[in-house]
Amino acid sequence: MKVTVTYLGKKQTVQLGGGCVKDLLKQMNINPETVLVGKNGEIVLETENLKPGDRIEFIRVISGG
Amino acid sequence: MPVPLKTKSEKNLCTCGKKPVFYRRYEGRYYCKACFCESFEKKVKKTIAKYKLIEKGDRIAFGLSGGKDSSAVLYLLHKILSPRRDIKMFAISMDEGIAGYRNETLKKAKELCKSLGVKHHIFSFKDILGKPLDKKIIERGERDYCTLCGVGRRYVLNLAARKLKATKLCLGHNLDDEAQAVLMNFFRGDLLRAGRLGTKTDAALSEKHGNLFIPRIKPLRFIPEKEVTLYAVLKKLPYSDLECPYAQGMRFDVRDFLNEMENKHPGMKFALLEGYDKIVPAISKAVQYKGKLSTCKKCGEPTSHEICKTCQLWKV
Repeated sequence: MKVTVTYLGKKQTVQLGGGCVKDLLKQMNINPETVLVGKNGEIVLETENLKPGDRIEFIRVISGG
Repeated sequence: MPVPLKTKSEKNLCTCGKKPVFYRRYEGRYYCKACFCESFEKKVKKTIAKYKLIEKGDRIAFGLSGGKDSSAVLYLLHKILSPRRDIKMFAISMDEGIAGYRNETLKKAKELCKSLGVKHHIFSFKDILGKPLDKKIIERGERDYCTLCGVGRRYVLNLAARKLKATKLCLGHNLDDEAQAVLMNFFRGDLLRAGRLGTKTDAALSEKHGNLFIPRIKPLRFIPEKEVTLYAVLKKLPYSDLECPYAQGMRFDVRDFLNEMENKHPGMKFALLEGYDKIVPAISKAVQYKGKLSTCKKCGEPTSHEICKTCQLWKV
């Protein structure tokens, strides 16, 4: 299935075999400690199941400097 | 009477029965929006009470960068303290002069202060230190940006807070910032600095320096960065998530390392800080500063040297 992912200001379509947000994070090599997850505009858990067409936003936790 | 066992679906709900937005791994507990915010605020209030961060008649200056941490601490302390007439609050932002970065974060800082009705003061490196950071870096061919900037920021923030007659300088440092500082000080072997970290710092030092240092308080010291971000997002606070273009160096390596460790071993950052806090008295005793605390011969600001670090680097 395909989902749309926004991360670090870039929007991309990601193909994955199904599963939940945690699987997507793993596929994109993102440490769950460093992001919050938005799905279709709502904050969700990493265990949230995904379905085709979902809009996922990874909100970066680390910032500043 | 025995508590009935929860079904699998109930286990993944907040204790109030609502859909969770957060799973606090080190507690093994799910939180909905309202319960998370309530828990967050309770934790911060507990830190304020335990360490006596706020006293009657305080004039609190908030170091406001426009990022999530300082925005969250200003928002929450304003919520807690605004009914108190004896407490005065205002925000101080610094414009270091970093093109394409600070101007963006300052917009958010202004927006938050306006919405809360908090007076906002902006001090620039150009006015206080003579030139903006961008220009200074080019001139010096400086590579250790964070030291140059950090020394200047501490100097300007303390000076500004003192000029505005603040009795406390409130910073948005969170658990991650503090855990990083602990490791960095150990990695550098800088135990003198390690002994100074804390929830309320520089109070004793301020007295030794004729009250030239404004005591710093860190109400978010026991809140992980991820939870501060979630709070700022759920409360829809205006904040900038831009990263400083000069961000580099050991802090960022330590940050990534700690996040890897936390992902594998939940609660590790807490354990690091708790363990550290227990040995602080021993560190302070072992590496007590033996030199004379005085004022800088050039600028008159507090220092343990003849000429302070800011004058050495910035030639104030």
